[in-house]
Amino acid sequence: MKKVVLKLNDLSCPSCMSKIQKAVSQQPGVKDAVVMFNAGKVKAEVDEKLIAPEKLSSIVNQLGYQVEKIIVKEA
Amino acid sequence: MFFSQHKKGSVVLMTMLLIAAYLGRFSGLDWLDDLSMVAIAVIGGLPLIVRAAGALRFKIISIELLVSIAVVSAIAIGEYSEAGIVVWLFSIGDFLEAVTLKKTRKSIQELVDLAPKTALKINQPHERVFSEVDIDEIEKGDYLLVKTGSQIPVDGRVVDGSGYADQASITGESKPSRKTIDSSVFAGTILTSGTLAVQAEKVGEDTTFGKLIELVEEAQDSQTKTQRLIDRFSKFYTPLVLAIAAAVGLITKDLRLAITILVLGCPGALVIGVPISTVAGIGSAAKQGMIAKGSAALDQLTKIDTLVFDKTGTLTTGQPSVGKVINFNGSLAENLKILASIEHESDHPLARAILEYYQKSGQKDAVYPISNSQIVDGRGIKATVNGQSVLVGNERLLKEAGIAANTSQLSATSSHVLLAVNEELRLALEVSDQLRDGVKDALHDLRKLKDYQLVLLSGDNQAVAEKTVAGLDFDLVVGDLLPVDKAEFIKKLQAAGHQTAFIGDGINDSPALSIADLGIAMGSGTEAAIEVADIILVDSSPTQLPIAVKYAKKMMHNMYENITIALLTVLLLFIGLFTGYVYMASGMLVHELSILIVILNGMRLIRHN
Repeated sequence: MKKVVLKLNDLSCPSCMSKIQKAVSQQPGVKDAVVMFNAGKVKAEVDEKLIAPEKLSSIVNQLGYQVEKIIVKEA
Repeated sequence: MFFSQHKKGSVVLMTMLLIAAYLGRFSGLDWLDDLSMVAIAVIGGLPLIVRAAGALRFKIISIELLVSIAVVSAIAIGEYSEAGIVVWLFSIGDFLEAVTLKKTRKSIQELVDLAPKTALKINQPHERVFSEVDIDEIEKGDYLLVKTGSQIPVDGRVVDGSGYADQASITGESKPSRKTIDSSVFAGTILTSGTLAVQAEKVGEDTTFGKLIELVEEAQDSQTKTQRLIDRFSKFYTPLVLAIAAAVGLITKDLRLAITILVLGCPGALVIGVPISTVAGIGSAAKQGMIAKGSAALDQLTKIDTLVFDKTGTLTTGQPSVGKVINFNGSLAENLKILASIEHESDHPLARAILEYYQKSGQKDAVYPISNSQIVDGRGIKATVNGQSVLVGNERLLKEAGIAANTSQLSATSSHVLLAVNEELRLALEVSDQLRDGVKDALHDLRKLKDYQLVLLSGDNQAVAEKTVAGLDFDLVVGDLLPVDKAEFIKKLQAAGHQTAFIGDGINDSPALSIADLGIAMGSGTEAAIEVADIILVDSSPTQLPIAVKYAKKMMHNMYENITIALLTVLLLFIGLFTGYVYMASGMLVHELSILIVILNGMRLIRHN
C-alpha cells in the first residue's frame, strides 16, 4: 500500500470537494480517500498493484482541477 | 484546466459583455443584447459543461450539471438573457468565493509559508562551499550549511559550528536556544547567530514543523457531526433537485419553472457555511497558540463541565529549580563545587536543576574528577572526590550513615538535597517546581465563564499536592495517584455524568488524556501526550485555557448562524418561487449573496482578534 497526497490548486466551491472525493473513492484499489477542502489536498491510500498513483492525478485532472504536486509515500 | 487558469480574465470579459448587452437593450439594439448574452453563456457555460461532463463520467451529479442543463434549456427556448445572467452570476460567485476563501485560509497559508523552501547543501561537514538546492531534493543524511539569520531547513543534528536558534515556531519559547555539536535543530526555526553545519535526520513533512502544519491542516478540514450530516444531505440533494425539476417540468409543462428550480437548487451556502466557520475559528485559534485537532474538539470544549488538571508540568513548570540553600560547614563555593561534581555524572532531574544553579552562581563548569560513584536506590549517591568520602542525597541517606541533619528550615513541599563530606553535614538545599505564571487568574477566569468543577490530580503525595496549590480555587485535590488511577478517576467522573476534560503533559498522562471526553496537552509536554490530546496549548500557559473556551464558543455560534442563514435562504427562495416573486436570475443573485454572507460572517472570527 502507498500513501498518496495530491496537492491541488485552491478549491473554491464546496461541491468540487464531494465530486473529487466520490470519483477517487470509486477507483479499485483506493482506500480512505479524503479531500481536504481548506488545505486543497487529496489524501488516499492506494494499492499500487491495482492502480498507479499517477492515475489518481489524471482523474482529478479530468474533473477539471489542476494537480500541482503528487507525493507518494510507503504507507 | 485552461478555464480555471483564466478565471479572472473570463469574469472580466463576461462583465464587459453584460454591460454591452444592457447598452444594446436600452438603445434598442436587440441583436447586441442577444449576441452578448449568448456570448456570456458560451464563455462561462462551456467550462461548466466540461466539468459537469467530467463528473458525470464518474456517475456524479454535480451542481455544474444542474446549471448546465438550465443554461442549455434556456437558450433552446430563446431566453438568452436568463442564460447569460445565470452563467455570469455563477462565475462571479465562484470567483468571489475563491477570493474571500483565500483570506480565511490566510492563517494556514502563513504557517505553510514559514516552511523552508531551499537549503544550502555541502558535501562534507567542514566544507563551506555550498550549492543551493530545492528542499525536496534533500535526503536524510545530507550535510547542510545554515547561516546567520536564515531558517534551519531540516530536523537534524549539528556536526560543526555553533550558534543560537530562535525556536519560537516549534516550542513557543522565544529565548534563543544554544546550539553546538550534537545539538538537535528543528526545521522552521531561525538561526539568530553563528553558523552551523547540520546533518539532516528528518526532512519535509516528517519534520516536527511539517507535522505541525499537517495537524492544523487536518484540523481545519476535520468535520463536526453537524457537518457530516450536511454532507450526507447534500449528496442526495443534487440528484433530488434534478428529479424534482424534471417532475415539475413534466407535470406543469412549464419549462421555465423547471429550469428555475434547477438553478436555485444548488446547495452552496449550506455546504460552505460550516467549513468556513471551522477554518476561520481553528485558524485564528492556532495563531494564538491553541492548536485544536479538529472542529469537533472545539465543539466538545463548549460542552465540558469538569476540568481535571495534572500537577507537575501542567500547573507547575515541570522544571525544578533550586530555592533555599543552607551552608552548614566549610566554604559555600567549595561545597557547591563538590556537589556539582557528583551531580555532573547524574541524569536525575534534580541534578539538572543543581547544575544550572551552580553555573549561575558564577562557578562556570569547573568540576572535580570523581571515583567509586555508587547509586543508593531511592536515597542518593556515594562517591569519592579528592580522596574524601562524599554523600549526596536525601535525609534518609544521611540518617542511615549516622549523620544528623536538621532540615526543618527547608520547605516541606520541595525535594531536599544534602551534602556530607567525610561524615560531616556541609550543605542542604531545596529543589522545587514552581507554579506557572497566571495559574490563579486562569482558574478565576474559567469560573467566570462557567460553573466548572475544578479538580487536581497528582502522583505526588496528598500533602505535597495540597500545599502546592494552596490558595488556588480547586474543588478537589487528589494525590498519591498512579497513571492508571488518573484514568480511572476520569472514568468515575464520566460515569457520574460529567463531561470531563483532562489537562496534562506527561507520558504518564496519556491514558487520562485519551479517556477524557477532551484531552488538552501542554506544548512543552511529551510527544505521547501531544499525540493523544485533542487540543494543544503551544505556550504551555494555563491562561490560554479560558481563551480557548471563548474561541470555541464563538466558533460554534458562528457555525449555527451560518446554518440558519443558509436554511432561511433556501426557504425564502422556494416560497418566492412558488408565489411568483423570484425568477431565475434574481434567485441566482440571492443564492450567491447568501454564500457571500456566510463567508463574511465566518471571517468575523478572524477579525475579532
